[in-house]
Amino acid sequence: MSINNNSLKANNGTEFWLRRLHSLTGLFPLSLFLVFHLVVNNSAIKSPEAFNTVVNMLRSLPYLELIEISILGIPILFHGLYGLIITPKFARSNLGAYSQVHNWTYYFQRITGIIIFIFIAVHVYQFRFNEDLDFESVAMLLREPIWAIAYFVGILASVYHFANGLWNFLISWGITIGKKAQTVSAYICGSIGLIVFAIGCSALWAFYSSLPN
Amino acid sequence: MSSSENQKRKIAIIGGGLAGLSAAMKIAEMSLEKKDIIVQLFSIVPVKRSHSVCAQGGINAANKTTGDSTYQHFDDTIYGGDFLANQGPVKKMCDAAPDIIDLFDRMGVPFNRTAEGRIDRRRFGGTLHPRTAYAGATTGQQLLYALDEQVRRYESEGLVEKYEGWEYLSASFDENGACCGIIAQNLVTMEIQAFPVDALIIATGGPGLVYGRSTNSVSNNGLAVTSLYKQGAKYANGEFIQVHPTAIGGDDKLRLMSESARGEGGRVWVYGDASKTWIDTEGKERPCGETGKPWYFLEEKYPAYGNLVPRDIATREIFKIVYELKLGVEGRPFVFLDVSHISREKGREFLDRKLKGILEIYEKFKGVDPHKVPMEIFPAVHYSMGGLWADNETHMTNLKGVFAAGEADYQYHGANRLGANSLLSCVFTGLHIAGPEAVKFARSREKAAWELPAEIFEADVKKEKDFIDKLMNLSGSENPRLIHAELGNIMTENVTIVRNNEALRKTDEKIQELQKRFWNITVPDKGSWANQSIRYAHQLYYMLDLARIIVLGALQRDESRGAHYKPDFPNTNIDFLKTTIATYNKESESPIISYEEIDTSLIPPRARDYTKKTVSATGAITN
Amino acid sequence: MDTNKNATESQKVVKFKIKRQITPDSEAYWEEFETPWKPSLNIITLLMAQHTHPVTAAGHKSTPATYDANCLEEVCGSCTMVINGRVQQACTALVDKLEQPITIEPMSKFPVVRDLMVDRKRMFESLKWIKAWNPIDNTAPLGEGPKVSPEEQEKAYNFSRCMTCGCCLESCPQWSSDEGFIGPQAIAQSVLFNIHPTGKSLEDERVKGLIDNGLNICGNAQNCAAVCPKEVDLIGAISQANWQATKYMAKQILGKGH
Repeated sequence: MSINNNSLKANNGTEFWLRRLHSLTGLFPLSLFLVFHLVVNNSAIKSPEAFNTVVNMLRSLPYLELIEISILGIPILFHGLYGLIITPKFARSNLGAYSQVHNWTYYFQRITGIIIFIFIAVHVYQFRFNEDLDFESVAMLLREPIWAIAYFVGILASVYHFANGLWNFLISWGITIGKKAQTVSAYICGSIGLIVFAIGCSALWAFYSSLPN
Repeated sequence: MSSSENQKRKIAIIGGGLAGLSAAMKIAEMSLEKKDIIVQLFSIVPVKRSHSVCAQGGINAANKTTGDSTYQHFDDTIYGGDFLANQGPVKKMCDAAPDIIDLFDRMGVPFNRTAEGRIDRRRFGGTLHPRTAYAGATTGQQLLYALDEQVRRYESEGLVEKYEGWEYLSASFDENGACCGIIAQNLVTMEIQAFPVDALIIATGGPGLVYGRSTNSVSNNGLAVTSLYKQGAKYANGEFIQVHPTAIGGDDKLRLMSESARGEGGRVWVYGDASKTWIDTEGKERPCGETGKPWYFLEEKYPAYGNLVPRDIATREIFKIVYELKLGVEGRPFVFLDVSHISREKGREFLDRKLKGILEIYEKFKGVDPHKVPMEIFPAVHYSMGGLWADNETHMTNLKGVFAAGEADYQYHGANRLGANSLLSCVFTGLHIAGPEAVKFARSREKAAWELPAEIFEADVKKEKDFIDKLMNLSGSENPRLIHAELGNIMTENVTIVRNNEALRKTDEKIQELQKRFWNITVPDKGSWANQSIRYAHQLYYMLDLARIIVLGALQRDESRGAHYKPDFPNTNIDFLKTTIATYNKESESPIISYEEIDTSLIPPRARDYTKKTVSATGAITN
Repeated sequence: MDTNKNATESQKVVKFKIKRQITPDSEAYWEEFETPWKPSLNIITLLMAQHTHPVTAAGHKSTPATYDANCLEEVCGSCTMVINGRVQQACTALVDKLEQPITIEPMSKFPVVRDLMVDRKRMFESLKWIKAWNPIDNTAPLGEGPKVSPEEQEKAYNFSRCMTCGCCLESCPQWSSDEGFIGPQAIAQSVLFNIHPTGKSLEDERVKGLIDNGLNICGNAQNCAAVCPKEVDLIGAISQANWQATKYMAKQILGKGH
């Protein structure tokens, strides 16, 4: 038969370990850092001075670069790059034919992944490599509606990816078994997502609505 | 394949349903130690899609809970089959049944359970004992999967080779007249190839397609058995075709509504009409229920067995209700099969656990929820009690080295099969008889088939190729599909529930006319890749021969017995307490009918009466 | 029924389009057909009508469309097709519930053999990768099997209704026949055999089979469960298999694996 059956063999399981690592890095450290980051940003609501104090404190941490590279840089690069490799390799959206809710959440997880990858690159370039970063320099950028919208989208995408990723994590590691458990976890993850999103937006609003010196 | 693989003995099994897979499993197991035999399993469809999946209700085996015994099972089977079955083999089957259930239990079949965790049983037709083990309402599917799994295990060990998507065409024979190979066609590439084999098991199921629409699957075309019949195999009891009382209509097929619906308490009824009457067994005239109220006619006429009379009886009663008394639902040819009261009394989930498989099918096809509304059903052609003649001890046909198993054999069900006995006979014959006997035969051959000169096979391959080329080159005005439809219609009309000789004679003439017209067809696809039209035409050619076996067997049997009912000869006749044998006559191109004695050594024949509780051969009153 | 109604009903036709492809390597094309309407037609009856009269709506002579079908009552799994864009069994796809012209296509994820017939061999092969059987000693009469509670039976029966039809794989946005994801069908079968006391002995081997075949490629789109004609609990199965894989991982890391 000239039918293609050459795929009838097993691979070696590397894919499995990479996927589990991908899933794990998404939760730890990335999700934890996201929440931490958005909470810290909220010091901006209190006052520009409070924000500057926190920034300076973080900057003065010992072994900062080492911490950044090992627990942020490498996980982000791995999670992001691996995601960018597997998304086009496997994902073939079929929302037109099968439009039930988790097909949508599946789709948005991949779309937001791509958005976040670009967003983080721009964000790190804008703020991490800005030696004079303080409240005013951030606010100057975010008072521009175009950047405010960009950051709003960035936060939305990140929080969605985080909340849905958490829901996925619980399934992929076999913690929520069955439809019932997954429905409950969907509500919990959704609620966490909404809270984190509100925290993220409040800081953004603080910058956007601040008055220039 | 390595050369050492080539030099092993081979057993070809045609058909991968319960019988074929049981045999495959057994043979592989017997070959496990020496690895001297390889099973070659041929099937039109992937074996997991075989027609056995359609068996719904369950599988019978006596069990201790209700005072049942294997002897009672044996007696019910013989009595239900109106004494036409061979008693020695049937007794062996009933004796083996409990172990067969245990084996499936060990293989992991999800049989429904009692609260304690044991296999639950339900009652089926023709018995007063609940002896039917079941897995929801898809028992055949579950048993088939269990066998499929075990066979896959042996396949991964190299003891079974599957040829799925191949159709058997004919057998090759060596100079001693023993089968030494088969010729088969690949249904995708269309190549025709010979496979030298040391024994052949035919487990191809029934011939439902001869009737056009039946409860059978599309693959049940009867080609393999008819092809063997034309090569000299005897065909036994062809006229005994079971018409199942409860099926739902459709333009493509008639879908079974399992007897288990009644086993779980389902009731058959129509609206009564007191102005009409029926005569009971004592000759008393009685009204057909109360006008405008449900008339549970089976319960009233058969107080002992109620809705669970054997299928031949239920079918004739429904036929009478519809066509003689004209009491069908709204004047249409349907009666009600009602399970809605069970749903109301015991809850939807209770019923779903036991019957979900069939209830969802009814709802999907009819758009009505049988939990709430009675189902509309009518009888449909379902099963062939007859099949290839085979020796009682070895299941070898009269062709040396060719064995028959499952629905394709004939011994076990006499003139009428009891519900849930078919799965049992398939597994029993494959596992305990045809499988081991084929191994014995293959091992005892002096020369292995692979050692034979290739010319034997080449000639047979050429014969098949030439025949298919001949069909392909026909360019007449007839349409094979329409010829098949004509065949199906006349067979359904004249050779099912009620038979009379005049109509049977006309039917035989009609079939011969169709055989002539067959040579004026055009096959609508001339391609040589996955060409289903040529396969269909080829199958139709054989169906016409098989139809004649059925019709002539029926014509010559002037009595009524089990599923074979002639109003002109309404009683059993001891002269016909014989197996019908059809052999193909090459000169007249017709079947020659003869008769063979039946083994009735254990239970003396007695008249069937399901209005009362039966007295078994041991003298004990049942239940 | 009055005769007027009969007359109009007999004139009613069903329009349907079949995606044709003569060989695995040739280009696909569409052909449109018509057949008289009747009550309760299904897709199989349309294909049977097309086989009887293989003539397009425009009157061109064609050939019967090759397709797989067997039981016609949704228990064998043969006749899976994409009908009006959605994968389903052709036998239970009722004409009156479908918008016309009805489009009938082969599944897109499997290699097309011809017309509507595809090659699903991989689904059966994948059952070998996960040792989808209970390893019984032999067929000798060794007595009854282990006791099973009604609850366990129900769970097993649900998984065991899988008829290898391929709907789940067709609808899965992550699965394709030439990449390393084993897919929901085989994952559920693995879980099925891990339930049974005898089958359980091979749990680690089955889990390894799943791991080696991309268990976690699943993206939780859950289309599989939505399209499964037999309502197999694929969502439960996948998460259960994931948990078994987590346990297996832990054993490997802690050195208790084999």
